[in-house]
Amino acid sequence: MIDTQITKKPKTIAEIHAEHKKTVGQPFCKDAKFSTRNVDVFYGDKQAIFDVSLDVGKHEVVALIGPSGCGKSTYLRCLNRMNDTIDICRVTGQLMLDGEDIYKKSQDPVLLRARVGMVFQKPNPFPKSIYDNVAYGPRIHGLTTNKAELDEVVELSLTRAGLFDEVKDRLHEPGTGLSGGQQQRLCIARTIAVQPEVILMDEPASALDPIATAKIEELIHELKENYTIVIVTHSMQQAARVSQRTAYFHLGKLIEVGDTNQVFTNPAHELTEKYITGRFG
Amino acid sequence: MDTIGFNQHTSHEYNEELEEIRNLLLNMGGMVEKQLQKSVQSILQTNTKMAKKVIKKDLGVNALEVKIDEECTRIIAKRQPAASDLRLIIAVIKCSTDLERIGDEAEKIAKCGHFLIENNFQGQFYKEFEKLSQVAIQNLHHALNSLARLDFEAALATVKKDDFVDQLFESLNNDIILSMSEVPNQIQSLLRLSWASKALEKVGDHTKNICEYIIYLVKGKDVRHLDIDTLKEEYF
Amino acid sequence: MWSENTENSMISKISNTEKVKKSLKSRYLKEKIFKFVGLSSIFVAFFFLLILLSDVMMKAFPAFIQTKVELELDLSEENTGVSAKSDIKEIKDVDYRKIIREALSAEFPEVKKRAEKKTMFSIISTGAEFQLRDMIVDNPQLIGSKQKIELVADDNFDALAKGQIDLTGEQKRFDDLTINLYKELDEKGKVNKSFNWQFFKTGDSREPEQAGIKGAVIGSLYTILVTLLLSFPVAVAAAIYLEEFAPKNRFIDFIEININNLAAVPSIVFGLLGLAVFINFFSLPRSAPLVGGIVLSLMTLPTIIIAARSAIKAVPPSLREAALGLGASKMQTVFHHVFPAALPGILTGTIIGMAQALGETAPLLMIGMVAFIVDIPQAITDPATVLPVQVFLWSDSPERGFLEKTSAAILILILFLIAMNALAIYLRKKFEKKW
Repeated sequence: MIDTQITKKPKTIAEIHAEHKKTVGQPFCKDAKFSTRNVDVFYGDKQAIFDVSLDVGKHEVVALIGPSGCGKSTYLRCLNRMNDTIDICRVTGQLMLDGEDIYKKSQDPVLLRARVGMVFQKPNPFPKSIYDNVAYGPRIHGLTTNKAELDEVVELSLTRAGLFDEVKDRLHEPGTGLSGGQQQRLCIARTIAVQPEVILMDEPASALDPIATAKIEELIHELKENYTIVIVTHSMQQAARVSQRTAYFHLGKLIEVGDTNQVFTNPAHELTEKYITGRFG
Repeated sequence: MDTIGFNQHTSHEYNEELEEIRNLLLNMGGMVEKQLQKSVQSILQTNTKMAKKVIKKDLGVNALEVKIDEECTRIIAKRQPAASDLRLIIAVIKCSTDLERIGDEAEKIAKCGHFLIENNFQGQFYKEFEKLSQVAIQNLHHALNSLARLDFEAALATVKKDDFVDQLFESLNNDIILSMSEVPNQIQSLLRLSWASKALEKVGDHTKNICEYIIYLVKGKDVRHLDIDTLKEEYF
Repeated sequence: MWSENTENSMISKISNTEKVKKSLKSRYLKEKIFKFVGLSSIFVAFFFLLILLSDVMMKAFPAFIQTKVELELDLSEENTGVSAKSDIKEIKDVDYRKIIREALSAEFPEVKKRAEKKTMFSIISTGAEFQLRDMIVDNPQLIGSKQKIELVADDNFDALAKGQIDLTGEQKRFDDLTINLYKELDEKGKVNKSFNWQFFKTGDSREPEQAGIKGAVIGSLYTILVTLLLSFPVAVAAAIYLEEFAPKNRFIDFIEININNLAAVPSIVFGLLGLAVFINFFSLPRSAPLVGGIVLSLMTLPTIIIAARSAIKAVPPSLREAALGLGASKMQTVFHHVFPAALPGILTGTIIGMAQALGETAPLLMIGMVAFIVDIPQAITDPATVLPVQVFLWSDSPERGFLEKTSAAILILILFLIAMNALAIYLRKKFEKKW
């Protein structure tokens, strides 16, 4: 009844995507922690990311959303050079952390990863005790000088991750014995024990039940005070709940970036609209 | 984004649900429009039966509003709508409220009509009243059309036309007040006529609201309480 | 349209149920047949294993029993010419053979003829005099009086005592004298059978009743030790490098293919290589566990590398990512997380490789570990033999007594393998962790 007026055939998603040239919305911000310009990523001959320019502000939560295979995880992994582990992966463009190029030759990826921590989709605690899981980062980086300091760091990290009260009596039991949600918070505690400046989260709650998910989201909300967070998520509701800004990726292109409130009520781009209202397929 | 395809969801059931609330709203709109026409006609044609029928039928309008609200609540709970879907549902809830009010106004007019007929009012100002009612009903009709077509240009135009309704009402009302002092024994009836015209003016306001929701639905901008001309220049 | 569709589907649903019912019978029958075939194959395999094991065990059993003859030996000072306080060397030099023969003559005074006497003397093992000597050296107090001492019987007499000889047949292997002597001794209660500790205490011998397994066991242990020490670190290092560090290029592919090829090379080729390179070129000692170990480690290297690589490959990538994401270096990631996680798999592969090496004969033949070695090896450079080669040697010997020894050696080899496999399972269970 509504579409009677429209005579021309609506464009297909592929057509809209092919026409897309420039990111809509506000991809840049003042006081950027991460500042990336014209990033292209290739896997061998296949280009996975096309000309992405995006800023991540200090103490801001930016959510990357988009359909599977849209390159959001790939982009996330560029930010701490986790893509280095894949031989055929090549990154071009400018990626700056606090104004320093993270892909320059003199940049040590190990040092970068100490500054930019990462939490993965599947909770992946080491098959060690809870204590050793959290203490591992500080140990390898030599952040503490004695046992007492290390104990303090472990306790603080677990407390910040909201896990300390649940595990304080069994710090020396294996971390793999915890529930899925607890394991994921243990992984977050392990990450913040290194005191990174940025935390990258790759679908941190996708393997968890709603209650554990809510706890993770609450944790993200608290961590925002001290850390810059970039989160990839498949759950649009989650992106809407936890982030200040939302970036929508589609087939390797950054389609739209904007204030989360705006993106979820009135997205500027048709593809974003289609994606968040469930009109793909 | 000139077109919103509410029938393009991956979930067909979702499409149908959205289609249903939109149809319900349009049905309600049609019903209310008819009510308004009938109520005005009952005055102009001194038809008591028609007036009574309008008063009785308002219950149906109210029931439809409740049904629309229920449907919308269900969709929100089930689908967590976002973007245009969310705006559609918000607009539908809001529009249904305004339509229900218009229904109430029609009922009010019918009640006034009933009184006027009972008291054998001589039909003073009926010409002006008819003019006012025509404009108000036409505006409502345009609003409902633009709602059906999601035509925000038409909605904008209708918003602007509301000023004309206000002017007509002001002049009619002034005339009625003047007449009241001249013919004091008819004050009762004149007052009813004034109420009826006031009701038509209010219908105009509700129509304007509906148009604003249409603009919100289509463009995602809340244009309430803003100056339409500057708005048009700035955004559209 | 719609209602028609639903009707159609209703109809097909009913007939589908019938169709499914019909096909069920044959499907279940197939399942039953498969189960039966599977179960019977397991039974067949188990049956053969049982036959093998029971045959070996039955044949090996007599090897653990030793026949001894009790003789009254005249160990007086006059007869031996030494006293309990004499020097060890003097005690050692006493002619014990004479004492044993005198005791035998005293036991059977009726035997007079030279030929008969010779038969009579052969009741007792030629090694008995050394047994007696060692006994007296250990305990010189025995000198000075007549002692009743049990001496090891000769293998033929042993077979007689164990009832392995058919005494009624026409083709008697033994002359009547020996049989009579046995009967006489048996009546007197002087033929005793006891557990054969000697089998576990001595090395190889030409005489079956004196041959022991200890030399081969020690040789095998030394060889395996050398193999383990050489192949485990090399194989693990190679596997870790190939899996974690090596760039993906043609050269690495070439190496990978050749490692797989190496696993398929016949073991005798490794033996030839060992002979040519280690013995002829580097002049390492022949027949030594050192060379045997080196050759066997060449052979087990590819096995362990392949097992270790697949164990490393099986470590979930999430574990690597977790460590790398925290800022661990590649080296730290591998040695703190990947290697410990892969350890159970690597150990299993290693032990299977070791078990394979333990049972290997062919390459060791080439490097001279097939030699007849009586002494128990004291170091990895001493000449030695190993269990499978010992089996091979004994199975080749004509004496009847070696038949049971062969089976006993096989049994011990099998026990070794079972122990190693059990160790593999234990280690895997112990180090296996959930992630």
